[in-house]
Amino acid sequence: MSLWKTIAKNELKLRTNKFRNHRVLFFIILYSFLILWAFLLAPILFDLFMPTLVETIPEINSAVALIIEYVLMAVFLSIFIYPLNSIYRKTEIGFKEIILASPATAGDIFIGEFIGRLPIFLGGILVFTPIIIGLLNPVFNLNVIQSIVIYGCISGLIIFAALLGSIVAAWLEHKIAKSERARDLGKILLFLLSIVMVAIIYTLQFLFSFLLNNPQLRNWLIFYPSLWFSNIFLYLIEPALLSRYILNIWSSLALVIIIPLVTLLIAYKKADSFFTVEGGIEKISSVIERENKFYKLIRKSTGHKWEGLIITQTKEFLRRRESIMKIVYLGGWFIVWKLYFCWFKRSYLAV
Amino acid sequence: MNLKIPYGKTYGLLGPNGAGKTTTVRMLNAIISPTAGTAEVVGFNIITQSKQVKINCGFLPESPGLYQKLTAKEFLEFVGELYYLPKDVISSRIEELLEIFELEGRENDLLEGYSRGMKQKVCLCAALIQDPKIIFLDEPTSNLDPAAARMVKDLISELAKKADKTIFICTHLLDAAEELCDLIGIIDKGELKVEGTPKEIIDSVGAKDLEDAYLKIMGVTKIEDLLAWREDVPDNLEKENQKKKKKK
Repeated sequence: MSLWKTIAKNELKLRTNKFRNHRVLFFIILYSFLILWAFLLAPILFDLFMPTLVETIPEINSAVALIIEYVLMAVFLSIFIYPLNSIYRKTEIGFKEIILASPATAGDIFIGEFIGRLPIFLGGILVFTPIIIGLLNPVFNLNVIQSIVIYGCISGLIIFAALLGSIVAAWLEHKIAKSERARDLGKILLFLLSIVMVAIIYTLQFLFSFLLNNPQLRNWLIFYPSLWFSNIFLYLIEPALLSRYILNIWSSLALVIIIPLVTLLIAYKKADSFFTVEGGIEKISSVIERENKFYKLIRKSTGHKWEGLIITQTKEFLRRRESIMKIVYLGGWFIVWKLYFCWFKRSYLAV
Repeated sequence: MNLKIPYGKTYGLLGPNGAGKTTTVRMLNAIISPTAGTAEVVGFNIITQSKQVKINCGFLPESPGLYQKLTAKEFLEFVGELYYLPKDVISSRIEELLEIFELEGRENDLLEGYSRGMKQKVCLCAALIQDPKIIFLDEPTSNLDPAAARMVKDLISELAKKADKTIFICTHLLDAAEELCDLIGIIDKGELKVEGTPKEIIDSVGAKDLEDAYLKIMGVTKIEDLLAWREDVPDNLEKENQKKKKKK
């Protein structure tokens, strides 16, 4: 057996350790329920209210493309972020060292761990895709082929997002082993991605009409992988929906097939560069020879009794880039709200 | 650094923290690649024949991570499969190792419930499962309480005597090295300073024991009065009181 298969089997064992005595039964029950949901319960559930909803809101037809694009954007990002969240909870250098001491390569470990998680992603696909199909079916009367393509697109999207997330998480872990500063930078990345996630949701909520009337704006985001997948969706339900975009169906198809496969291959071959224990050797240290004026001012302005405590806490907070990022975020948030409030006052209160 | 370790000997690599012991042992196990130079382990080149090196070596890392949600048996089966061992060989080897390390009856317990000493035993089992010709032990007794450390030392001693293996130990614990090793090398900043039997090293610098020899070789001088710093520090409390009196 290839070593990545051994590692994948072990990963699956770890993920299902709570059902260690009845693993097969667990999977039979889980997937039976998911298949029941996908092919029976979800269609019944959505048929209950979607036809009425489509009749009540006829504009929904024109907004479907935008909704699909944004839902897939959010799904892609949330799955991409998921592996990143776990990197701060555990240090895996010890496991890696034992496995890397065996004939297994870094590529075997990476691919094995990733494939070992696929049954869990499959569960996610079987939960999520019937919802999308249930929402689209009353509007477009999807046939079997269209449903299969939608399953394929969502599977590809979820697996590709998880693959990219796992690569970035492994690379961050490798960097984190090098220094505390890298850990700090990793937290900033997580924070930024969470902000992007929130921004996607708010953009859809507040700029819905604007985005609907200016679909060509989306061409600025052609590098974002979920849009390649959503293009196939759109073409499937109405080929004309792609007419205003740079990427046509063929280029989108090429991207969704080639990029994930090439990424997987590169990850396997080049795993040594982002999945090793070498990181632990080089330590990057920062040197602070003397206290700057800001801290001296704090020392002077606080009483002798509290000086030590306040200075320690302030240094601990401000020397983390993550904290600076939070301050910038709060500042930005304040400015955005201030501008929004001014615009609101000028537009409505003046009248 | 040049090392030549005869087969069947127990070799101890000593040195302070950050001397390069772990890096050396990781390179010799083909876990990381050297930036320069090369080595042969059990006759195989660590760069071009890394797979053969790995198959012939057992390795106990300094901070071994165990999958907490696996049982000892499941973990050892996993490690055995990584070395391409057939299932029946894995089963019999696990049985033997559990018996040697006195873990029988606990093999189906989750590793999260094991004490540190027991976890170290499981890691030693993992390092031995493919019956390697050479075993690398990186700080095998660090993080262990004295009783567990004693047990691990006894196990290594037994292995060296009965199993006819080459054992390579990295440590900064001098008593353990003196007790267990036939040959010792002292390393500092990636450079091998001295090599020989414990007695040779002690005699070479006219020391009374290995600790004394190590300190002499490393150029560590004894600070006569460790509490001298107290005299230079002003009595802050007294100063504060004087200030308060003046204010009044």
